[in-house]
Amino acid sequence: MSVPVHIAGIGAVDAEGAIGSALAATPLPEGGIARLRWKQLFDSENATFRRLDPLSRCVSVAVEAAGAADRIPPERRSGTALVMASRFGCLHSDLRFEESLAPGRQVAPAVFPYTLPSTCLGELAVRHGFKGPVLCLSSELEPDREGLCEARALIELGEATSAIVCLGDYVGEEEAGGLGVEPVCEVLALVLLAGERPGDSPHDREALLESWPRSLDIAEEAPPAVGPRVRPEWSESPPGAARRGRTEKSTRVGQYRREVIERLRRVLGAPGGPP
Amino acid sequence: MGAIHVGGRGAFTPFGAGAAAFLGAVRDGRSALRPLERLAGVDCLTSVAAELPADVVAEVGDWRSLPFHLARAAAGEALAEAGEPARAELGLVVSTTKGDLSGICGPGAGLGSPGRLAERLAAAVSIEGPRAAVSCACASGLAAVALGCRWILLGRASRVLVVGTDSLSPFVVQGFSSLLALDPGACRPFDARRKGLSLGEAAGALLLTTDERESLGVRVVGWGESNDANHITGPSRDGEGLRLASARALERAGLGPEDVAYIHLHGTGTVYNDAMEGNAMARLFGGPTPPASGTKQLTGHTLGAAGVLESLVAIEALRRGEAPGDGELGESDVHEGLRLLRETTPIARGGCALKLAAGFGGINAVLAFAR
Repeated sequence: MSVPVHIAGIGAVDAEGAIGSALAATPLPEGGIARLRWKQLFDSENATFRRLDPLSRCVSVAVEAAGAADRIPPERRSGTALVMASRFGCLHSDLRFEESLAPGRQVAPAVFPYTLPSTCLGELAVRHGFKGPVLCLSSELEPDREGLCEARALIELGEATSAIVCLGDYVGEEEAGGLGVEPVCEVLALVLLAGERPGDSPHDREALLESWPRSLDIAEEAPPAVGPRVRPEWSESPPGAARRGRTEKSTRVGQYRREVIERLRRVLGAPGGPP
Repeated sequence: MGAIHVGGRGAFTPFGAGAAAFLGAVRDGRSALRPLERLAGVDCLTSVAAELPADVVAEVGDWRSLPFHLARAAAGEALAEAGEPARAELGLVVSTTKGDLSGICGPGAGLGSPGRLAERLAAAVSIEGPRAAVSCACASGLAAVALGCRWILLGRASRVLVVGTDSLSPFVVQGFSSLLALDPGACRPFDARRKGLSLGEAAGALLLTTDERESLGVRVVGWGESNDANHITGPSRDGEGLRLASARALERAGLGPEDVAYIHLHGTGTVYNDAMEGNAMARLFGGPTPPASGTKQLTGHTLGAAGVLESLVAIEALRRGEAPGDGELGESDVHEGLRLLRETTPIARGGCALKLAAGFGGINAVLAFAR
């Protein structure tokens, strides 16, 4: 496929704070993303932010930090694809809804839609008017690579002229141990545009870091997955085996997004540090 | 790049194991909706669903494992019909909303992760090519087929197995109940008396191949997706998002509205969905539509399985040259231009079939099939 694709904006949220093309490094308030008020980060309105689940909050902040609204003008949003790739989505919402089903409790209708990670993308679409294809992927192995590959494919095949890719998960400290997974509050958002990267080329790693994240060639990012892949350790376990109380060891899953967020901080400065 | 053919089909539904059992029930107009059995004690606003028979669940042992077992059965059938293609370069796309909820609901390791379910299925049927899991709410199945087609176009795989699966649980039933989306009785899509949807559980599978010799005589010729950018749980009133997705599917196919012989509707039975579909198709066709029908009054809404399962109905309509109708449909109050079928009806030879879906988050997806 010959359609070039470049990264035009990048934003991120993790437990440390938020950062991006359109946002100086900013720490989250005590209590994390759940306690964050939109106005603490952005000089704009977001009337729905308060009711969002933690993962949707992270996605909204990361996309805003990436400057998506500036980089994709309204007239191009009909062709903007939204892609989410995660391992579990928001386990916090899953558990919160399940707990609301207990006898004597009030079932939580406002939480139910957020048990689907694709709802994050719907929130973005409503806020910004993105009307392109929507793809929500779940991967046990390489969600970051899959998310980037599929977003790029949507542009390369002419199904979208731009894409917003969100890579991340939310598992709170309070529920992680009981589920046997590590807590995570992490979303990386990338704005992909069709066309050549404006300005310099050929691709050079040092130049990339210099210019990053204002523009970035996607060519070296996330090559497509082909052929056999390593099966995760859990797949050898008997189906349905109880895992409560066990915590999986950290894996390569999410490694890309963590590396990118670290690079972002190196380039743009850590929270409280120089911009 | 050549055409993308349908080379294998599979299903496991409350009608029994196999695509033939499912398609036969659809032809006969038999409904699997019945009084709740496994979920009878669940506090919800309906007394009806298309549950799998108790003996099937007992054989599996734990309802939380149902999505996997249903998917494995449907996948096995599709692979068999396709002549057991080599697994090394076979891709797998799994479509589900929540997959295996073990770990969230009781003990287990599923954690509602579609990706985890996909890896387990890939291991069970020895698929070693690229694989992915799609969770796009009720549009998951069609989004999954579209993803498989993209892989083929980009040369990532020459064959892709797409499997949609979901099961019923208190989590799902009470979720839809809390949104006041359930009909207390059996759903009546497009009927003026409709009060909401009925839920079901099932799996469906499609094998996509580039090899014409493996074709069952039907191709995937187009796909289109869009977002309403309107509401998180409700469809747009005017149907513009679904019209846009349909237009994109036809454009990719190189076809126009005049080439459509049959529309298989999403048809959930909620007041707003059905009205939206009528409006969307009226906008697309600008007048009376081709013959159209849905099948959720027979299967219930099988969520992540629905798109794949109902694609089998659209494919069968093309193969047989006739489309199923809804014999129980009363007076309809959706757009008068939507030509709803009330009985099995011949469709134009040589035309294409559209399969529509829409889901939470404003997601719309449409596939176009042709002989």
